[in-house]
Amino acid sequence: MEMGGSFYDRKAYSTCYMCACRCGIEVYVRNNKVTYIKGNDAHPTNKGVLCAKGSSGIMKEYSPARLRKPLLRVGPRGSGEFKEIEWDEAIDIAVKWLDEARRKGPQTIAFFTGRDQMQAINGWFAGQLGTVNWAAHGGFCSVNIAAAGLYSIGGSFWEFGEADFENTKYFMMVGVAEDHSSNPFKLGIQEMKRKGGKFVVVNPVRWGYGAVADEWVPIKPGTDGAFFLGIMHVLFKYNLVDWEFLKEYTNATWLVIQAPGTPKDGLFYRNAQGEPMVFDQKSGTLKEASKIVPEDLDPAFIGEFTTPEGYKVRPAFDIFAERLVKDYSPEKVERITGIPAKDIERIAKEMGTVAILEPIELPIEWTDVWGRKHKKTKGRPVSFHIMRGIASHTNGFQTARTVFLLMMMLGVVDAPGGFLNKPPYPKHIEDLPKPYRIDKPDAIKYGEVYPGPHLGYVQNPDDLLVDEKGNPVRIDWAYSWWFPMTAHGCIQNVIPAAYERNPYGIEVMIWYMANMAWNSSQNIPYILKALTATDQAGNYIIPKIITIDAFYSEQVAYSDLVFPDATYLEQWFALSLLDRPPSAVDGPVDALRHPIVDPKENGYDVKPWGDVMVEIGSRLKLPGFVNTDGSSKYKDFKDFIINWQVRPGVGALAGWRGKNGDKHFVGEPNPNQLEMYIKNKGFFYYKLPENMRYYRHVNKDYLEWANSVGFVKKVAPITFNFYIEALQTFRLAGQGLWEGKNQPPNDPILKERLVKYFDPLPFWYPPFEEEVSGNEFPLYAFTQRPMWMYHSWDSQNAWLRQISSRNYLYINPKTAQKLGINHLDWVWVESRIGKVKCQAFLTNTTEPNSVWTWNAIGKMSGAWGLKPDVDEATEGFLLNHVIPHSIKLGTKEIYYGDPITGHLAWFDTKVKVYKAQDQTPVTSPHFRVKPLPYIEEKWKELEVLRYKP
Amino acid sequence: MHPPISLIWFFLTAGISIGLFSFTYIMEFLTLFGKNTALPSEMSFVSLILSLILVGLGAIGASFHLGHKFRAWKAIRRFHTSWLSREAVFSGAYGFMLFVYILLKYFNIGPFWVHLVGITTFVLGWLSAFSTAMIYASNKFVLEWNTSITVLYYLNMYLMLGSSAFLALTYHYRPEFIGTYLFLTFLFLSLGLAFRLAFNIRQFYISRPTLNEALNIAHNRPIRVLDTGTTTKNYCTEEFYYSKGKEILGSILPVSYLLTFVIPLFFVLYSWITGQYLYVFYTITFASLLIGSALERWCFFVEGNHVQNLFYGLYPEEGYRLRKGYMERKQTRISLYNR
Amino acid sequence: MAQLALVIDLNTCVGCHACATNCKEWNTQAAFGPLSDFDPYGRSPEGVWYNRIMSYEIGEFPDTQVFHLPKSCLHCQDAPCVPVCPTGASYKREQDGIVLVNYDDCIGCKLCSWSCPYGCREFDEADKVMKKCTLCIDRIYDESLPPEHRKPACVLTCPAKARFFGDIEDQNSEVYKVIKERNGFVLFSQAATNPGNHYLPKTETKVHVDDHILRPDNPLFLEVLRRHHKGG
Repeated sequence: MEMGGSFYDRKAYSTCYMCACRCGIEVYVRNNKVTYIKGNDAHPTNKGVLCAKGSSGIMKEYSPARLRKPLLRVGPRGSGEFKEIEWDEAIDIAVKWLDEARRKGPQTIAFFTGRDQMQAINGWFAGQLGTVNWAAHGGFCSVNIAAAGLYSIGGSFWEFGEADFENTKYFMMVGVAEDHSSNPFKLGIQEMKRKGGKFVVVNPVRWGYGAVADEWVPIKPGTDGAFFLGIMHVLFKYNLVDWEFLKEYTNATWLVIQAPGTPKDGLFYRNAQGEPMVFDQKSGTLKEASKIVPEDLDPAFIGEFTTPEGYKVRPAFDIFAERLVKDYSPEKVERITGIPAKDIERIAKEMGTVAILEPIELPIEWTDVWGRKHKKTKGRPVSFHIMRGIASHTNGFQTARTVFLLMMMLGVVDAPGGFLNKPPYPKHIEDLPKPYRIDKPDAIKYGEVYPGPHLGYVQNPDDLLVDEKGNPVRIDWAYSWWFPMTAHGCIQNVIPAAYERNPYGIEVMIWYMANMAWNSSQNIPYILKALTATDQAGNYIIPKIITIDAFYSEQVAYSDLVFPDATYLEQWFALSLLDRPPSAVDGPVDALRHPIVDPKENGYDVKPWGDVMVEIGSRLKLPGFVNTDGSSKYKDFKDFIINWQVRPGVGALAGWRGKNGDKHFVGEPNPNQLEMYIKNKGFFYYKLPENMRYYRHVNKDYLEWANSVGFVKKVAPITFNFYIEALQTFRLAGQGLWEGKNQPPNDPILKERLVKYFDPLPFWYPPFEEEVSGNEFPLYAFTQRPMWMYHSWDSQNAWLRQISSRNYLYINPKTAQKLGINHLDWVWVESRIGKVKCQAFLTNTTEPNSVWTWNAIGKMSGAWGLKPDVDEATEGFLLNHVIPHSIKLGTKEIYYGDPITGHLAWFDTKVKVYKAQDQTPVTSPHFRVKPLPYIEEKWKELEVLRYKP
Repeated sequence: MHPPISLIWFFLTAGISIGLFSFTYIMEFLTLFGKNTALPSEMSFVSLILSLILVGLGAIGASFHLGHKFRAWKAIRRFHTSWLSREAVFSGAYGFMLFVYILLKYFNIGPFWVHLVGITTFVLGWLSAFSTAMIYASNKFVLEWNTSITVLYYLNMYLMLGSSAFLALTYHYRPEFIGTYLFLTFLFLSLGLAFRLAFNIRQFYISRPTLNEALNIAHNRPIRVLDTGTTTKNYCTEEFYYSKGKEILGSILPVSYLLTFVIPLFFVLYSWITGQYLYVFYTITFASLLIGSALERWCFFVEGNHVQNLFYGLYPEEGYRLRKGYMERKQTRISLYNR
Repeated sequence: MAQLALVIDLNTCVGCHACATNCKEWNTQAAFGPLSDFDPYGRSPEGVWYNRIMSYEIGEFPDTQVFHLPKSCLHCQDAPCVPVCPTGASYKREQDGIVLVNYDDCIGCKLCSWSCPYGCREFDEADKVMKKCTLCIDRIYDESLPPEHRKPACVLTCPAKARFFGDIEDQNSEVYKVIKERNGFVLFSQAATNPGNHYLPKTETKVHVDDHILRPDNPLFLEVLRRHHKGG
């Protein structure tokens, strides 16, 4: 047998796109076919390892689901009847549609991008079209985590920061719906475990990571907030709190005005210069908060004081302490969460012991922003990671807040062994970008640019995107009174809102890498109705749908015009710091994808979306795409990546800027920049020195450097928001006490919502569905994604689908017994909006109040290049059919989401489960589309797949 | 285990061949001691050529079990370790010697050579049978098979098939031996029934490994399969577990008993006791035994539970229960809340 | 005698299937490939894999444990699959203990797979030969690869670093040491196959809480309690 290095004739470094982690890969190619993909040893994200998805990239490349030419719909929408057209024709059509729509008002174009990794550029393109209606997938992803984090500590989890796995001794992973992120986590957890750290999993399900957890806390869904408040209660009671951290780095001691019924109520007490104040116990006087460190004040945490003006004021911590003491004793929390009180107490004591009683010290000198030199760096080795399970509830924002407060109380933010921000984070919370405000949907006229940003962090009601009546300006209701602090937009509302023409109709809907007709939407029967509904004249209510995707997804089948995208191994692509950054804890990282195989040689007449975007932009003569003489500014997307600048000197990629490639972060475009990336194994990693690694929010050297490269706007402490004053402004608005120009519509339910949920300090409330579904639907139903498919859209992948070609409904045996359900019985799962048939799998890994399944394994029959009778479309099922997309509040039907951020609360779903009378092993409801016209040949060709190029 | 039709075919053809040859040659052999057992040469040739054809067909059939039949000759290489290799060598040699034996008989070569070759063929045939049986009996991981009963039954099956076939033949050529062969057939059928019952009864008493043992888990809490890493099928689930077969095994097994033992025994005994030597009885006996044996061999495979099925949750129930006393010394309570 | 083998750390394995798909990816294109997939886009996709991961649950709620088992050929020292092979196609290399199948000699009788208690050999219906883990013999001795890459694909790719590779008979090797230090065990120890591959058991880390030091007497807590309980 032949052995030896004959498995490639070419080797290239690039960036993976099998999920969202952006790991570095080494791609080996023989005869223009990929033979092997390995993790890039040098890459800081994955350090040479590669997960199950990344290792299956080859099967994505050669999937029969791949589109090979632009498609134009010929049958009714959703039938899957298309004809293949030439690229010129496809672009002509798109240009015509977009131009017509822009003439009707640019807001009638909705451009939403799903698994988008070029958000900065796509958002900018939307702005060039003039539309306010752009966002990526954050609305159903984990925007609650991002928003709570950014508003609390100027950073958050995943792209923004992660546990210091090198030093942590106690790691708690909460509500991770099986994986988020992939390789970095596994690398980190094993490192921590090998060093003897304790790993705790808080999740209704024990599964992948749960196997190596030292403790499993099987929590009832939607109650995590109470759990953390209970922990904080115990920490406070046992004095296991890092008071110094709270005092110096947070606004916990800032005084809050107690004047109910007045416009000042709940706002910080400020002096004449607008400086927030604390009560200094040393001098017994009120002092500016900014003097806590310089003057070594002893600000009060507890107490009630009176200001010279006669205001009653309390430190923010005092208000929170009252809440902790009164409402969140372990016994009370046990009743909410199902976790025994003594376990809550023990876990809190464990955390407190590790963080407070056994701090670590690293021999690293650093200087804080006040000029104090620290000989060593103190660490508190307790860390957390929270994701989906926290985020996807209607109490998700406040629950995520509880975790950030807990992290502050333990003093673990930016501390060795705790949570570390990844540059460019943390950011000054007050300096976070705000969405560019327009006060009516049609404010931008034909030919004008919506300057953006589309997304950002509002600080008070006047930042909202609402019209004078208080109606939403954006199609997705983002930054409206119903979802004020949206942060990443509400992609999930676009189709229902456009269908209901609420607030207005949409002419052209563009979807980039989003499967909104299936697993990325909820209440699928309704969504499909919305996509296919016609008016009295027989015209579609959503007139035109353009989709950009490389595969024959359900969304593609429900489109009018389809641009076949190139895969990640076939295109130029920038993984930018302007986006959700691919950075490492040790320093900023950005990366490149570049064409490694030629799709044309493999029979695919496809174009990367970037190239199509440049072409459309130039053809429409959008200002950013053309020179003053009307000629095209950019040749193609590669040229665009090199030369596009968001502001002078700052472009898509930060490495090797400047004419000669000798500048980083800021510098004029470098014509050879991309070649330099390729030479440097596909990425740019700017490793920061050790003394900039910790306490970045107050680390002088770090902040000075960050300021010099534009990551922060000033060299000043980033004060963490123990208390979020911005929330209080909305609460005041709900009380009619907001003195700004934006006022909420006169809707008592909306006002009550603002008053109740916009609490500047976190609290726990039951998920909304609890009230609506009540006892009739006693079980929580949610989805997770298996590690081998998490964040991937590869259920059609020949290798991965052999692992999971169908899904089950997992249920606790005791719960099943009560319901008379046996192992592998076919059952109905019914929520208030509908029911779906599936097969039950009894397992002790699931807590008794929950049922769950793997998401996105169930497929529409005929889609994804799979034969129509595959498991995915018969025995597999999609839980989304029963997940509500809206909720009736009073007389209004409001999109179902967190009242603060609008985050789609898909884990709130409550169901009843009962044995199906008809045990035929097929799911219901069942949907089908026509498979791709040429698919039969492909199937024949691939009857036996023997991949050996 | 998934029953391979090609192997069942081989068992039956080789069984009839070796059995029939054995009895044919024994009759020939007994003449050495002056017994009047010489067979008419027509009968000898019918029987011998039938044996030769059958063993040939058997070999061809068995080769369909192989992925690469034209490499089958390579099977001689591991004679010292592999029962399959031995089976191949012995059955091949048996077929060859049988051919030589027929030639010697045909050309009427002296009795020394005929008997030398005859004895060799006889021995080779039974070595081949023994080797075939040992392929199954020596497999430690299919506990149903891993017993001397497998060998005893298998060898006896050849005798059953051989004697009943000989019975039918002798009816035409040497009817005076009908009684003897009725008795022999009865004897082998009875033994067969006893061995098969033993084989089945033994299955209730097999001390099976458990998943805990397979995974070597050092505590005695039951383990259940959560995910086998594939929601469809794979080689392991298909080869070692025949789900359709398991479903119908309960109905097939009684039928195989009926056809293999009950019906043949009835006709043999009836004929023997009543003295009604009717050819149709022996045809029915043989035909029933043949079909019965095919079903019996099918059951033999389906009844076999490979221990690798433990990993897939496809092993019999006991594999997932705790054995009393199992690893009790190592018992550690792993508690969620460190109670 | 040398015995190359894998040692799999169940203390860090999270059952992610990375080792399985990377194995598939490497081996389908390499010396012992392809690893055929039948009906890959149809009702019953069924392919040849050298490495599969199974998951088990232990105990009853809430005392449930989960156990992931990556399972590939264990390269047994007394490999039962080798002597049963009639042609010698299935053999154990003397120099390193790797059990291999010589495809040119394999007649596809499947007997080796019947003799394996672990279910670690898979028949390729397209090539009509038995296939199995080779410990990436086409990587580990390939001098055109950088030395740090001369390891089985599964070991290199494992994100949980749960896979060690080396000579378990060499007392100086990492694998020998981890087996000794961490009570490495083998599957089906009573099967007398003497597997080369070992598993390291899961251990449980506890945090010691000293209840003598911890007291529920934070004065601030007591003050809040006093203030807010006065009124009722």
